[in-house]
Amino acid sequence: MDKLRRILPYLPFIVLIAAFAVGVYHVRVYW
Amino acid sequence: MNEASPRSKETSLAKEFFLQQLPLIATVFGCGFASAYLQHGFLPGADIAFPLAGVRVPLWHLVWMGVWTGYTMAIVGEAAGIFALPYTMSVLQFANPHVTPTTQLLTFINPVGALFGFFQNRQWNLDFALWVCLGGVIGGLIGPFVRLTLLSDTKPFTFAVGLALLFAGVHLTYAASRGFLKKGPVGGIEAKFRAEAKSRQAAGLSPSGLPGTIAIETVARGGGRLTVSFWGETWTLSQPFLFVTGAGVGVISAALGVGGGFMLVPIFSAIYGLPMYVLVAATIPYVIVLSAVGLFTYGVIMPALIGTSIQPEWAWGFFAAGGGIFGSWCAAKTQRFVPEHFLKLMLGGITGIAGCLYVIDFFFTLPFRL
Repeated sequence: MDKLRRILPYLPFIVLIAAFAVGVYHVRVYW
Repeated sequence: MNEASPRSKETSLAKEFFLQQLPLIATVFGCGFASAYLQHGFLPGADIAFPLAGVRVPLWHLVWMGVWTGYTMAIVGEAAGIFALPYTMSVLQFANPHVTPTTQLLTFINPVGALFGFFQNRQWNLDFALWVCLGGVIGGLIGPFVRLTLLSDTKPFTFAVGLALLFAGVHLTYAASRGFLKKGPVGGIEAKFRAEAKSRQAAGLSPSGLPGTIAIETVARGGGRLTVSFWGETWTLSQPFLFVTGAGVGVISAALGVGGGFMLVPIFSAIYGLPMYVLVAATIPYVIVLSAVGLFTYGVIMPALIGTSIQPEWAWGFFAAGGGIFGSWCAAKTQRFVPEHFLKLMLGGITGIAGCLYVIDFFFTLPFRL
């Protein structure tokens, strides 16, 4: 739980990077 | 048992998720599967294109879109629509008129969980919400016709979305810069909020900052004016202004397919100085009412009046909304651990740049596809 809490401040940025990566994957595969 | 003990906090969090959120998310996903078979007779996704959208998208991607837009935008106090709409248009390539009611389905379902939360927290005032929501009804009735006439082509539509994104981007960046600059002592609700959070933390409780016993109360009503109070502060609001603002924002939002909170929040906080804790009493019901009326107009009123309907991709909207509910819930639970102003600046930048690109694309041909 403590480890998870340490990640929390960075979570939105991790999520944004993941969203960007998934978006790029979609463009390459489905466009 | 001590409320502060980590184990009890974990248990209550898990209990809340499994008893409140999971059934809601499961129901929305169930609606997604059911609506796909009812609307199309099959389940579209990665292999078979969504018939109205005309694109292939894996279902997990729709859920993921809901999760990340709901999470990031809820952390900075916005709704998923203003982020999900450009992502749907530019990355998923769903930019025909059906995208508008589809995103409105997302903005309709997403805030329902938040509405229950605010109701339990007594951040609720029907007198305040009524006039804004009535304006939203008018907006939800007119907006879809604007979409069908003025914004029926992709170019003017993306231009209008670009302007909305620019507005949201500027607002987020401005809010972030104010947050960075506000280092000194603060007054009003903000000071009380901080003091309460500090005392709760000292007592070993979660620093939620809002004592759940304080309600938004109507102090006076009549002559076109409404006075509301919250935590010792009062604000006098003009009912015609609430109505006209609700209607104006509603027309734009229903024409684009967003919730409208992104415009309503900066307008009300700039003109009346209303804090976010009070604003949500009007904006959350507003987004739900506006989206519901917008969906009804697109699907029922439009075909009855002019014989043309713009149906949403129901399954698309439900799957994204299911992810959105989870994302917004995560945001509500983790918001206090996140550097909010920095995130606002980053999201404001991304939104503003996307808006600029859409606007530029209307006048000049960009070397890439939007």
